[in-house]
Amino acid sequence: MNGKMGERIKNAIVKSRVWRSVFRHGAPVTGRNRALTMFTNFFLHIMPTKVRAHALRPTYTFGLGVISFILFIILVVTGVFLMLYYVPTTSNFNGAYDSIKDLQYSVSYGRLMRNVHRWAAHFMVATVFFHMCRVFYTGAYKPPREFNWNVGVILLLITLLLSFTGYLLPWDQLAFWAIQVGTNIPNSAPVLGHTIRFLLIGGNEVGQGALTRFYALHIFVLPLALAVILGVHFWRVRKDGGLSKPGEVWHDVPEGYRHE
Amino acid sequence: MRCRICNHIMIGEERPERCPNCGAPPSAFEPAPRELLLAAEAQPAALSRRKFFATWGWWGFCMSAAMTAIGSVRYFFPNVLYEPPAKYKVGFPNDFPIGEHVFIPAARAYVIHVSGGFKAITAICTHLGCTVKWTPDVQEFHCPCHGSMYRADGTRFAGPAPRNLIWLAVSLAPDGQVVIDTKPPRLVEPTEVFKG
Repeated sequence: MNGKMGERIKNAIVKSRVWRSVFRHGAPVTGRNRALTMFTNFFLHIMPTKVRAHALRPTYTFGLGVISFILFIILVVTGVFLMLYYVPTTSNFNGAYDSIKDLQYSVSYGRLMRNVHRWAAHFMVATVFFHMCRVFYTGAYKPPREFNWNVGVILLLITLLLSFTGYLLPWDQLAFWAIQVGTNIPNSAPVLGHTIRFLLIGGNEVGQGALTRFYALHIFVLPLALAVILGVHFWRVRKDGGLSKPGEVWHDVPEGYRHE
Repeated sequence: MRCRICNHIMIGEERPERCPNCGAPPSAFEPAPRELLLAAEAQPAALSRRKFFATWGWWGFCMSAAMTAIGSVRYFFPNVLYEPPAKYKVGFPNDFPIGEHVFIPAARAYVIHVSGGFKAITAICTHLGCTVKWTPDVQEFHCPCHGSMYRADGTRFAGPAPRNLIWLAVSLAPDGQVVIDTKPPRLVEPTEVFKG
């Protein structure tokens, strides 16, 4: 009786339209279902349905691209957490500096959250750089992956800009003078230098304008740009025939995946 | 018998229904070499390395995930608040003429100097939170928003207000000023203030 009841409940759930709309194919035990698992799932379809044997060797890539991506996810999550308490104003009372002090000393797990954000940011700059080195040493910048190298360079720049804009937000002496120096670098560029600095910090002095603009860049503009271009970057990896392989030449790339 | 998939050793001639270690079917089992059987018999219940790491790996993962979840939820509750204080110093007793309702805008409350003491009543309408106005000629509180009306003792008698106005605790600060507490530990009902 009990078993029958359980069977009926199970059938009612498993055979419902809602269930079948979510689980659209059987368990990945057959070759066909394994392939379907990969390319009917949004999060898995980025992975190729099949990989070459050499690509499975961990030391070929050291997983540096994936590590950078995971660090970005960690930064987004901890960043949203920090946004709950951070106030982007230069006010001497309950402003940016005080809100960071609050995070450090009065918010439960606030210091942990801030340090995870900080260290993930440091590591992300490092892993993105090492990822670039790996791509260089395995020759993965060569045709047909030249375009993706360019996309990667943009991603590196955005990563560095995210680091730079995040540096101002605590609004302490370190942050203030770092941005003072940092925004004087474009200032020395010919013709447009002053204008670039003026636009970047929203005035002639590093003040509330700079903090507001850096905050907007740090929490919205740059992460969004990074996420979108990251999508292009991953898609290009697939389109260019997956990981590069030793001794690969132009005609190894399948027809239709080449861009001339 | 020996599992060809994971090298799991089982005592006995029978093929098991599934390999207890890796779940392989009976066909995966073959007769095990004698020395392996003897070794397995010497250590019958030995925990395989795979099982050990699987168990503790999952434990570690689940515990750290649970701790992260608890910590994340705790993070949402701030420990320090920057809200206006609940207690307001409203002035010295002599500043209040006897029998008059004095409105304190910051606290949104009326302070009343009656013979022999002070009373304070909130001016926040219990309907939707507008500020009620004391109307001396009829001795009533009137709400300008939706027409709720309260008697002098705070009991509602007209309009959509669901509850009576709340009386506030009054005390004297060490410097001699009258203090009203807009967030009393318990609600003081009009009947308690006006009884006797």
